[in-house]
Amino acid sequence: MSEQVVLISPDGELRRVEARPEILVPLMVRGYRQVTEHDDEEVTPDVRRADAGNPDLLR
Amino acid sequence: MSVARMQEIQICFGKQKQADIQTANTPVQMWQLRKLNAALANPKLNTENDAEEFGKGHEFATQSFQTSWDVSGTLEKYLGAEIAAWAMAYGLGKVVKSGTTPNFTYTCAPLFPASGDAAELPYFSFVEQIRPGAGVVVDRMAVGCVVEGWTISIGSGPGRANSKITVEFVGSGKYVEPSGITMPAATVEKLLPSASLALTINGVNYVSNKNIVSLETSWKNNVRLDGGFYPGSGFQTPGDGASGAIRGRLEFGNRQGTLRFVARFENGSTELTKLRQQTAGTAVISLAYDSNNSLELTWHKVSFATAEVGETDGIVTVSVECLPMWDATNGIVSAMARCGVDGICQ
Repeated sequence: MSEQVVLISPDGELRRVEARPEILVPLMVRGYRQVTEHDDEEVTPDVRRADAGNPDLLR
Repeated sequence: MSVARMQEIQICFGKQKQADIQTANTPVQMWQLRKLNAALANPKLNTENDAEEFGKGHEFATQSFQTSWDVSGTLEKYLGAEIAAWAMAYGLGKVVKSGTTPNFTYTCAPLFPASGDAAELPYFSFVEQIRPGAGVVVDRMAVGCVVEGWTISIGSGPGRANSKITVEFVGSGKYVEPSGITMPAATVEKLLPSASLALTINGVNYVSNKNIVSLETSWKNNVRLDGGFYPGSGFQTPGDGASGAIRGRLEFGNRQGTLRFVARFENGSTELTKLRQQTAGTAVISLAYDSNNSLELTWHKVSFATAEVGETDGIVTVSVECLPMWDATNGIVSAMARCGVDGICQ
């Protein structure tokens, strides 16, 4: 299996897919883009546990 | 005073993209590559005057005004894996990077606003220097440039000139002089020679049948230059309304892809039949230095728009112009570029 990359759809759906053009290109045409390190920071809240947003715990 | 000759010119430009159109690349984000053409990316100041204004008592100008700035340039290069990856990424606009040293893979496709993509292309800074420092001749940086288009030309013959790329770029008009950039060491480039070509167009392998003579393929973004000047787009010197306007965005217009080739025409050649029947298929163009440095460009659906029988060096050939068309699954074109350089258009 080849390397995998994480893409994000225009709706915010994350998908981990093989980095092969026959897989990537149809998704890129549909608006998916690669999640960069900067994006990782932005999407982190979406994958945290429900209580991770508690400001008391973050303090 | 010693004469400055064009062989001295060094260029470097953004390997990594700018954060936005105004924010110049930093030196660590740039790379130095060599080029074949002598043309400079001169900033051009557009001016207007008050000749047509009434109230002066005559028809002559009494004042001149700096109104706007343009920057454009062209890079002509032997086609290497590094510039191929860069041109595909910046020219098409959308990139997925994978791989590790020494094999980074950049899968590139055009931006599609209908799918939620931006219409702005990735920005880079472009630096030209001749003797920077105390004896400077030229030292400037154009900020906020985008790739207007690229053309790849593959020919027959033994030399490097049979595999070339030309990249046109345009800028926001913003420039910095002196650039303040210390030129990075030149990047060692891996040539993608004509002899490495693999080519299948519309079901025919033109390399295995030894019929391909030459090929040219291109992409043009038709950047909306005037659209970059909008109310509030900014000035060459921030806050100085007399310093001339610069663009605040560079968006592609109606994009165009082209593919044309010349092949030997012989008994059983199918180009004229496919033209008459408007047969459609893919066109896959592959060039490689080695397994880590290559370019595979795919036009996902092409038919033949014209096919004319003629001659090349006394051999009967057919000159075909393809019509790249939209494929419902894969779009118009995509490129998979491999090279050993990390961070291109990231």
